[in-house]
Amino acid sequence: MVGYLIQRLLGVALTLLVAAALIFFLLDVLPGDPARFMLGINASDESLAALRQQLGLDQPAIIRFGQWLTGLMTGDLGMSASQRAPIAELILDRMQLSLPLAFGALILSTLIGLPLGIFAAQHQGKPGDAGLMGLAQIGIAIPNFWFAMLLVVVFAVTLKWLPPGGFVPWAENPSAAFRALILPTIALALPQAAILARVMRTSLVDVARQDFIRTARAKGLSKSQALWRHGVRNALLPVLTIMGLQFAFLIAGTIIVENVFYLPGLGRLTFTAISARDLFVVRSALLVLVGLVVIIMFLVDLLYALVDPRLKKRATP
Amino acid sequence: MSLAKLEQLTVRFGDREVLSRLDLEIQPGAQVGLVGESGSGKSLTALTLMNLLPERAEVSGEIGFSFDQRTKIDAAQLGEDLNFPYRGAQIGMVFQEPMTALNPLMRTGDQIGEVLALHRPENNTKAHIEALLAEVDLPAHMRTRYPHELSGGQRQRVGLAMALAGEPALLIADEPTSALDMITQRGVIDLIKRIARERKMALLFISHDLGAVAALCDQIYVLEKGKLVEHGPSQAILQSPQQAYTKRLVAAAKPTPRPAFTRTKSATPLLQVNGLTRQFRQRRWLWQRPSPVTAVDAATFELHAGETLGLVGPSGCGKTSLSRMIAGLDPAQAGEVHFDGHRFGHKQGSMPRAARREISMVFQDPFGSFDPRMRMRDALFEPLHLMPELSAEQRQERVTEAIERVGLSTDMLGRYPHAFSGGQRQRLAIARAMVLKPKLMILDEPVSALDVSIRGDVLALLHDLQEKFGMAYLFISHDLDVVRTVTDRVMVMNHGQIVERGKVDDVFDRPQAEITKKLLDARLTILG
Repeated sequence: MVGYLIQRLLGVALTLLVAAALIFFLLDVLPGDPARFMLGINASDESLAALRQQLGLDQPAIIRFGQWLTGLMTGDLGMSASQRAPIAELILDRMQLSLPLAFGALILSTLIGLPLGIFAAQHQGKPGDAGLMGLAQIGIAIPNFWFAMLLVVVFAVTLKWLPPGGFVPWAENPSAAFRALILPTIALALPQAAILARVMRTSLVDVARQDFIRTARAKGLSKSQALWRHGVRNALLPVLTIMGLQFAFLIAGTIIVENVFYLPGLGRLTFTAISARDLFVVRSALLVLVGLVVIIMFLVDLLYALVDPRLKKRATP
Repeated sequence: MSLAKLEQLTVRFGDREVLSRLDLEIQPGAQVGLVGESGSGKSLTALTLMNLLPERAEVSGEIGFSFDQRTKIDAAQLGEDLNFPYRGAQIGMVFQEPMTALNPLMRTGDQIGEVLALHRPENNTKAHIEALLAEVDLPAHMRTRYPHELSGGQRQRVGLAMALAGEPALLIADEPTSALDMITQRGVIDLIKRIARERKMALLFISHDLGAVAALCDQIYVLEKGKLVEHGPSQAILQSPQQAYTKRLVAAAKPTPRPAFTRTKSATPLLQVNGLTRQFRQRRWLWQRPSPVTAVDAATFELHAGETLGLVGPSGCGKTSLSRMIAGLDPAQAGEVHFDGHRFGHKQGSMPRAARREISMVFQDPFGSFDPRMRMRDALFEPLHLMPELSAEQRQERVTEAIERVGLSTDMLGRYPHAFSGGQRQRLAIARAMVLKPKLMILDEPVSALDVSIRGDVLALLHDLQEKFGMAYLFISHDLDVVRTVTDRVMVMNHGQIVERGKVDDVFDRPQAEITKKLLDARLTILG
């Protein structure tokens, strides 16, 4: 198991390095000079050159890449030109919103999606199944920005139960911060829950046809006992894979949802930094997003090895 | 008084009647065999007794049990809602598929413990689970193993321990050994026999294999297409079968005298295999040196035109690996093959195209070896791309000839594989191998997946084809009786090595190698 962990961690590190290189060099070939952007169109060539030197932009790309990597390790990512604040601080600040949002949505979609999928599989072919899967189909088809606006109209504007947008830092008012995240989390989670419900149902229906379920029933278990005790865990394996992949979409979804709810999160930071051509912020924020996804994938792999003894066998001597 | 009794049991799926008015009776402690070919309804009979029929089945008739008390169930009431306390308790069941019948994510001990928790909670202890494992000849530490860590035979034993855990008065075994190799099969059958005697347990043993049934049962029921053909004491059924169908089954199960499967021998061998070796490299870690596992170790033999050479051995001995290298499907790590003036060796893809079209293969599984989305016509034409010189008419002729040779007609060719029966599909597989008119055909267990009555037909077909076209056969099988019937010479493999070879009668009558003796001992014949 330890060996498996080390192997996977090496994989994580390598993925991050490749992602960092891709982000850095892709942004580097984009047109636009950060120094000119900071100083404005009328800046003199001398001051431009001076700033470029100060920012290290006159050095070769590979050196700047190395500097950025060291910065990532030490937490010194430089200053944001558009926000006039240290980039590391900006990102950490925004994470306190985006992390709870993404993980909250992940947990909520699991809590909704899996039980519904199991229920549908147990009632396969019956009205409950058809109804749920119909709803799931709609859930998948609805774009989440539209769903987010619908939530705002109903729960914030009409019913006035929850704030329509904005965010109060946790430190100032935890309950207000929590309330501010409820609608965005739901907006983000429901389409994912719909996908999970479908995947869970299909997977469990597949497993229910397998021989070991028949064996379990031959032991004297009822159909639903056999499904719960032997089916669900086996059916979870493909679902876990999908959950890992979905997290990337959740992260992408935060950018949209944060904009709809006017939340100062990592997604919005990236979005505004792109509009402001603040490439230093963009590359670091992007890498943090990639890092989140990679870490989740890593956790999924670990979970896989925990759930499925066949993998452990292959991975450990 | 009978322990379990089926009266006028009829099972329908829609308008298809799969079991018709079946009467069957099992006395306490009796060993009853249920014999029939695929589709005869024998598994459905077992599922009825377990109340595990698929929901869409329409059932009528009566089922009676007398375990603790006498009960009579109207078969129409069977289903999930029926209060049916016997499953797993008074009736235990073992299934055919050792690979898939156990939950892959659960330790074997826990899977056995589950039965105890349901029916014998007072016995749900580590000691009792280990005692059950010991009863099926498994060591105590198997308790903590997962199914994938066990061999097929071991898994089947775990399945048996699970079925025994509820202390059943009736054990149903549905083809429990059909997926196992001969030696393992014999072990499991002897085990079931011993346990049934020791526990004074009734047994319903379902099999297509009369030999296995004869070894275990004192009564036999013969089913054909859902109807009871004949039943009675084993001796009577096997020695003087009354019905034509039973006679056919018995005849097919007896080792038949050899037909003249012999032809003229040429001076130079058609196929000469020199030191052919196949290794798999297994690597645990990226940085570790891979340790080679040798599947075939320096195989050397020759095969003459028109000859049939048998290749036998226990599962995993390297038979299939060897044949795949000769057919050019797998690379070899050392050695070379001389075939019909071509020479090719240990490089993948080194097999010349001209040699490729002279060697065809027929595989065991008539279901898996056809692309389900390809019409039969296309599947049969496909090998002909190796003969670009043929015109369209010549191709058509080739396919027509092949299809007629195997006893089927060309108007079936528009169908997809699923529309054919197992026997038809194996004929089509032979036809597909035939269209190239190869000089060598590799037959990898060509009849093992077929019902006994069809087996004879397919073997006869192979015989005819060889007479007419003079092809050489490399005939791979675990069934020694079949090998004896069809081959001239035989080679025995074990652990990747050819350990014995010679004239088939010499080898089988005076076996030298330990494994040959073991294989011969494991045979279950209805004469013995």
